[in-house]
Amino acid sequence: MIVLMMAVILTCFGVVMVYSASSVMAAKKFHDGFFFLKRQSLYALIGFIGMGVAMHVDYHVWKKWAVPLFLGTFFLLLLVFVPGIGGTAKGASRWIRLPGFNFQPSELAKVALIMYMAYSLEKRQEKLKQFMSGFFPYMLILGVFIAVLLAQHDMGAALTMLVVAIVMLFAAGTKVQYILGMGLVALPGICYLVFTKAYRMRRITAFLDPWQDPTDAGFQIIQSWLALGTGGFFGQGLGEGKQKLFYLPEAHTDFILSVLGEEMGFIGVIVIASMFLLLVQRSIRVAISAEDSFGRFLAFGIASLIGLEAFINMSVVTGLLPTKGIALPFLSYGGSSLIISLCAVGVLLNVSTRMRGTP
Amino acid sequence: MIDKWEKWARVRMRFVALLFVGFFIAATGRAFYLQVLDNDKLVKIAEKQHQKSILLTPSRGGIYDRNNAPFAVSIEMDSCYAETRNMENIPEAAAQLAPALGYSKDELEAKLKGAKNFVWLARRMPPEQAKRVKALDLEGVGFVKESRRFYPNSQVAAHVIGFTGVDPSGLEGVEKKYDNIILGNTGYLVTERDALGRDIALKKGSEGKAGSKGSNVVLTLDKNIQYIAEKELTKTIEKNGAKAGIAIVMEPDTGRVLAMANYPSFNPNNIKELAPGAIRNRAIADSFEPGSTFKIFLVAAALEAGVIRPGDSFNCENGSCNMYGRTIHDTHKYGALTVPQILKYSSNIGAAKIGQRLGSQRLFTALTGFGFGEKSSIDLPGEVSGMLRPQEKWYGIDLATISFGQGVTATALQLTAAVSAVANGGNLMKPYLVDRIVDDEGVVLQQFGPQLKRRVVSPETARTVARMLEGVVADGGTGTGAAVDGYRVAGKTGTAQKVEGRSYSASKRIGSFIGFVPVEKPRLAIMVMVDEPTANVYGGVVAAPAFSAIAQQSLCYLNVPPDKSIKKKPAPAPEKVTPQAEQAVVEGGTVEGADAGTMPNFRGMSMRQVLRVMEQRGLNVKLQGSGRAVEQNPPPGARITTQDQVWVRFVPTA
Repeated sequence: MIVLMMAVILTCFGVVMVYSASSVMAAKKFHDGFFFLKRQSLYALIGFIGMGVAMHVDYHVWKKWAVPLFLGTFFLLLLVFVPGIGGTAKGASRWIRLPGFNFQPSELAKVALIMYMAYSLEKRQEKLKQFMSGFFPYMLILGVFIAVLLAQHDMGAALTMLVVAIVMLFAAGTKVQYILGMGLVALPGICYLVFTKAYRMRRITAFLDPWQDPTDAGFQIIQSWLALGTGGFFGQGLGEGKQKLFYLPEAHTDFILSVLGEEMGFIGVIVIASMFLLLVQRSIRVAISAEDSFGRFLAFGIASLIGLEAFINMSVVTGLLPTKGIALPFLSYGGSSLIISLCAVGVLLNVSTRMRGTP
Repeated sequence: MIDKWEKWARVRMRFVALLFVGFFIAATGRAFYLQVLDNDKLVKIAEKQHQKSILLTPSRGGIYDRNNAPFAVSIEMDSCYAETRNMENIPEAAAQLAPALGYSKDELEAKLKGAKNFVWLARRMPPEQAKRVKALDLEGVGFVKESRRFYPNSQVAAHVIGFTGVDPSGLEGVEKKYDNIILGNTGYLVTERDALGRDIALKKGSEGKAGSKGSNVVLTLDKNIQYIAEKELTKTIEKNGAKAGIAIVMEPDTGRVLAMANYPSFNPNNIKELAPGAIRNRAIADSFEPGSTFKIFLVAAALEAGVIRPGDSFNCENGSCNMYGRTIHDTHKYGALTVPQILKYSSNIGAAKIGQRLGSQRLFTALTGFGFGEKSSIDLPGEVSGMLRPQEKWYGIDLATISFGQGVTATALQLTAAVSAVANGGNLMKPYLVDRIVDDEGVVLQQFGPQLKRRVVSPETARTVARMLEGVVADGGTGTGAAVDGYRVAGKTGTAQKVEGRSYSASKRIGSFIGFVPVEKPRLAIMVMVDEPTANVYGGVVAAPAFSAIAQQSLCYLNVPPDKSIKKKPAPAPEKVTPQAEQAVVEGGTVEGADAGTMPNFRGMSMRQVLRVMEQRGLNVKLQGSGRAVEQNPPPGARITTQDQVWVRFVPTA
């Protein structure tokens, strides 16, 4: 029940903050200050309905659907590259254009991956300790997905999926040395990726010392700091923030927490962070007391996904990690992310209804 | 087996849950650092980025003559702005404001509907206009006091005072030279702005910062003498159909400039309609060939060097003499002339021969001593140094021509300073214009005094030259027109051909007269220069009478006792000196119930009105504060004379 409450409260919070962060910008761009508010409200409504439906669907259904869904999203991810279907924004093409709505398949892919892995991990639990049959196949599948996502310039989604998969494997009992070993092997590859794409490289250097380039690469993180700093302990008051007035890029999406920090202060930030922590801890407890392994991994994967996205986003906004393009679940503006996150929570809630009592 | 595996999975999940707690601590800890511990620095940077200052015109200090008569004052005026976001109905407001501000309604509406929230509607409005706009009492329309420069004497001393630009920095004259002292600190209003640079609103709780007024400058100029010099110069220029002219009055003992007049002149209150050339302060910015006035310094140098004695006589070759293949002419034919006679009749041949006896090295050194070829360092911008070639570059005829003031150029100020050195017993003083700098309470912040540049000739030489120069003005001399009733005058005429291109012009001349008075204890050194007179070209005819008139009126004004040794010629009564009635009246207007000679009641008047009244009376007034008059001394109705010190205190109206 707490998980449901947290998800609803965070979503409502998000709708308010999206409006506050975007109204001036929307008024200028679309001549409608409510542009983003209207859309986010609609997404929230759809999301709530989806969540309600998912809550009442026996999660074992997903076991049957896991493989088709997984293959289906892979197909959708490829569809993005088809001209006329795929949509492009800011040098990235990761959307499928639908009438009145741009669908981002990578959001769906995250949940599809979790379902597939939960299904697969339950099936092959004995083999997981082996490298060739228990670890390598997952890496291979992941590698393909990540390659596609990187081709869409969606580093954030690629990273999230990788980490979620690794966390799930870890929970399922994969030997830690495999994971660390893979990290060592992957290191040169990651370096290669960073150093060959100028925009990634600049994000790294800007992360290390944003003041060196305060008007360009370091601009976003500095503006985020200024927003947070201006907020102080109690904040400037809702709607009183200045940083969202064209200073802070992505104010209503990835950097919504900066706006919140400016307007609601440290109090607001810690409340939001606590709500996420509570949501994640509760979800992990659902996983731990799930009635079977599929439910356990399903719940755990969803909990990890939400937790990772939330805390990586917070770390980015406060400058602990370089900027990656990861939205804050429930709060950031974005239909695909919000609807799918809420549906995932619905699935998780269904798992919780079939708990077998605390062990 | 399965159970064990599931147990392990639960343990590992708990471990991941713990990791999330760590994550939480890191992120919120970082937020705490940024928002609570380190936020001062960030707030400052953010504010800088969010705020925009709207600058207000700073208030300038006043410029006063040596008796504290104002030459330049700053008057507080209303500037009017609109904050369009606070306006209820822009078209309606525009319709009401447009007639009061003199805009067309559409124009104003477009201005108010622009992207900016803060819009200046009118800056430094006339009081009547401000009243009308204030009466509209519109939401979103605000007022702020800004100062405007005002020159109560119009063109009097315009070249010395200079003027300011639209932004309030000084562009010419004392206004420019002492800009950093006169100019106050800029005040500002603070508005908040977004990243696109559009201001959002005037910052609440912060009125910005009112500017502070700059310091006041008190000049050595005497408004009355300045006025006399300008009036007589203009008269002379017009009478002789000349193009331009200069008159300078200096205190010989100190180098204080009492008057520096230029023709043509201009009204600094209205610099938009300036004729080109009218603003140039020719007294310091133009150098010209001095001609015969230069003989003063030649004779002084030769006497000082001991190569001639006053009684020595020189053969003036009947007006024509060949030197280095060129012929030198005198205007009249003379045989043998003594040194005083060479000056009196202004013989070029005699001067050339004295020059040859002195030698180019000693002449050059003496001329340099008198300050030629170097800037006088007067405290005005735009001074030139004139041209005195180094002695090594004097060839052939040069020594002879330089001896009578050709092939060398000087400014009027250099000549005045040099003749002052002869007048004061041989000391070259640095000419200066600013006597002191005072704050609004009258406390002297900086006092300037006379500065001796160097001793040029001995007192004996100076006295001898002065006596000889007296002869120039005596009957038979070239400068009889410069004589002043009741005073002994020393001086020298000069007539120079103007250089056009590379040769001398056949018709264009510069006529000049420099001298000092009274001879024994000189109070005034005066220079008059007339550029391109058309009727008569001789300095003795065109410039000497102006010298006489300026000297006559100034001596009378200064109450200098006449020399007993000179009999007063029955001459027309001297002109009335105090320029009360003729003084440039800035704007019409009368004050009721104020008899001449009694102190008017200034209470409630604006600074501008007070100045106007004082101007009409020829009174010196010291103004304190700004706004409306609240206090005065002497009290209303008291008997006053032009010598009395009058002060009026103002306080800003609420």
